[in-house]
Amino acid sequence: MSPTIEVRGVRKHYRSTVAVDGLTFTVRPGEVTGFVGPNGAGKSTTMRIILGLDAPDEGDALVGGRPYRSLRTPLTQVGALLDASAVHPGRKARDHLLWLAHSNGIARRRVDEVIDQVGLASAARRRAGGFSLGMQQRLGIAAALLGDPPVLMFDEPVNGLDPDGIVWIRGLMKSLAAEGRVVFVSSHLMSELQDTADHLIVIGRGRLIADTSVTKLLAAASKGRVEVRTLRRTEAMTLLANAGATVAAIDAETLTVDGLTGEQVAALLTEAGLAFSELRSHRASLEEAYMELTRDAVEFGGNGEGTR
Amino acid sequence: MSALREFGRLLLAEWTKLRSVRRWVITLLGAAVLTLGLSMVAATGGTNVNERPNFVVGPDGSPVTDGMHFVHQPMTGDGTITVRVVSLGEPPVEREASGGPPGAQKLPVGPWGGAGVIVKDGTRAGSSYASVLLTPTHGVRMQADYRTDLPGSASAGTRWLRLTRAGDRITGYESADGATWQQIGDVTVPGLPTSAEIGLFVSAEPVLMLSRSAGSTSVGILPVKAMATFDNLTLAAATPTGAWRGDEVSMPVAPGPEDEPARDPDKGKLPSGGVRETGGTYTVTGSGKIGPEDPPDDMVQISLFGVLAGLMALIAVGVLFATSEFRRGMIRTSFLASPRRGRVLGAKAVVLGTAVYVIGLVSVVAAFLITQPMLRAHGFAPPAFVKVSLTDPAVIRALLLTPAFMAAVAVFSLAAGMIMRRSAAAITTTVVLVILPVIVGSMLPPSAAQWLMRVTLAGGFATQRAKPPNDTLVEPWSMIGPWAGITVAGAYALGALALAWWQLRRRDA
Repeated sequence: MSPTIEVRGVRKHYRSTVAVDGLTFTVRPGEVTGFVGPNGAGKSTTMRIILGLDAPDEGDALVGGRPYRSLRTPLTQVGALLDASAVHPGRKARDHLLWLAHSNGIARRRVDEVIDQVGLASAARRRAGGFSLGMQQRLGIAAALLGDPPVLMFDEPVNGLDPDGIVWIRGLMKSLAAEGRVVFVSSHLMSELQDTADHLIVIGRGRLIADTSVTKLLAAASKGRVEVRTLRRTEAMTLLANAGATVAAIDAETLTVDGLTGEQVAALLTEAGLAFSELRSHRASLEEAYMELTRDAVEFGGNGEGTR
Repeated sequence: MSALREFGRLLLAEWTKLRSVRRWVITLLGAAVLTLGLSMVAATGGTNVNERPNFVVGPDGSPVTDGMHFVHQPMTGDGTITVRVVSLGEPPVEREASGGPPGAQKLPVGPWGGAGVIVKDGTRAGSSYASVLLTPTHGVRMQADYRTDLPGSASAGTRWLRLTRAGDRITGYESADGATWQQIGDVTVPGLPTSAEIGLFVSAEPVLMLSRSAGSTSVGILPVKAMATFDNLTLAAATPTGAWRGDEVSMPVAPGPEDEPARDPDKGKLPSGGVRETGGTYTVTGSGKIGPEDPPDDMVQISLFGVLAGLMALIAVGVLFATSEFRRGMIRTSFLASPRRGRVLGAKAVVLGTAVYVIGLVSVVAAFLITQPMLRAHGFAPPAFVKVSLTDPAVIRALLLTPAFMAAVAVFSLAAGMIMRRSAAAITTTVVLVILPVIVGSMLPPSAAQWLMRVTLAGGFATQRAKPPNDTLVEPWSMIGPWAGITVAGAYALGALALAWWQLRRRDA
């Protein structure tokens, strides 16, 4: 069985809200796949459907070719971190992992191994109720790693982690992918996935917006775009827009221009007597590429900074 | 992977969950402490049954009641008495029964009264006897020494009766026509002396009037008279037959309770009977019950009184074991580990039920062993109360079924927690279902209370009883048997589990 996650035509609504609207994608092993979309885009719902917690109205989701609910020892096939606070506050961290291990016939020594792996050894015999957000997150990750599964799913894993923790988890995800596992990470902030994700699945309003490698996405977002620096930003924007370009302000002095070549921009500005200090082809950031993609899909009115 | 091994892993997982939350373990142990503690408090209440002046014991030393009008003569050695009971009914000028307190209900009368022939060791109440009698509602019976009761035919009208003594062996017969006789049975009465009194008798079981109000039961005893006519009386005996004389066999009179001044001077006295003979036809009027009179209190039930308190703690653990899963979405972790939800629920129920059963068993056995000597010291002693021991079948049954009832309540609260997903609502609902029928049942008339106990979770309290069902106690569950009790409690637990399972499968986690 090659480790994959397949989502095929999944649709799910809660009362009158359509959470997932005909979503199809495949997550492949050996790379970190980011699952991105604004809040409310349907990421968590999709993950719950993959994990057999919610039943889709239509379509199906397979893990390693099988529905999650048919797995007999699921923790050895899929490790998932959904909500790190989902631990009984009165239970010791080690006992939490121990019952999970028992339920899937996982050897007791694995419990101590994963505790060491996530750096919780000193807190293993403390009650989870007293854990900080970061420690809870580490405990949740330990639970996901417990069965040494070929497929790993993390829902917003960096929430609550301190900078050290963020660096640690990025390294962990990359090394898990390098071992040939499926690593599927959701986030509502593209910047969190910068330098981590190799592949991206972008959704908005429950629909697939992009299923692409990070390299291709960045190239597409940068393509033909010109960045120009001028002190007379307002006049320059009006002028270029009237010439048929799509213009966006990045900061007080910098504009990006779509639809005109660098030569055309230079000629227009010179002709109008608008001084500019810099003119170069634009290299998009991942965040920007994402904003571009989700512009029409933002559900909860983003502030649109830098895109208008 | 076998399904059994898979379920075994789930059991281990759920057991780990249960034992790893310290508060739950403390509460479970608290349930044992509460059960034991409240039982010990209950055992300090006493009884003075043994010292009451109207307390009479039979030949075997157990409490009995004895009352009749006895038309008799002495008989030495063996002999046979035969008579035809022409009619049995109420005397014509009997005062209308007052009916007791308002709302009181008449309890059905047993087989321990009627008209017939008897051989008895004198006229003292509580002495050894054997009899054949026609009863108003239980047909023909043969009875001996207050405990033996053999059924004959179901006939209610005119009947020939015969009693034969050969040594200490007495045989009873009945006949429709005085020609063809059927044997009812034969009994050995070792306590009957060679020289005994033989003759006719009429008795009538008093009617118990029961009224129940919040937390109390009052039992009114309404003495009843019966009148019977006999003819064709013959006595075949080795000794010469003498004259018949009528005597009243009656219980010593008990003084009325101090807080209830004697409004009715006749209160507490049994109406006296009499005999009239005209041309070989004897008309006899008599009153009183000849039979066992065990106090209704059940020593085993008193020993286990604290179970009521222990249950409150068990309900809390049962509910929290379920609802904690729904706090912070822990149920998702559980279903990620085992997506087959019905099995998770099943494993939870088995683990909780087993843990509660073990804790319940330890606490009820401890409560029994500790409180029995206390109860004996407080008046629950022979002869009124036979000493009960851990090896009596009825005690074993109570000590094994009561923890099963506790486990059923715990599993029910688990299911209630799974269905409602909120601790406060589920705890309140379960407590109300356990307590409310007890409160309502103690106010209802016996038939309604009995019905209520058969259909509610509270009926499970009947598992504490070692004595047969009894309508005269305050506790409504004493009206049904222990098996009926565990059946209704088990049905509630399984029904609630089925509902929780059905809902768990349908809902998103």
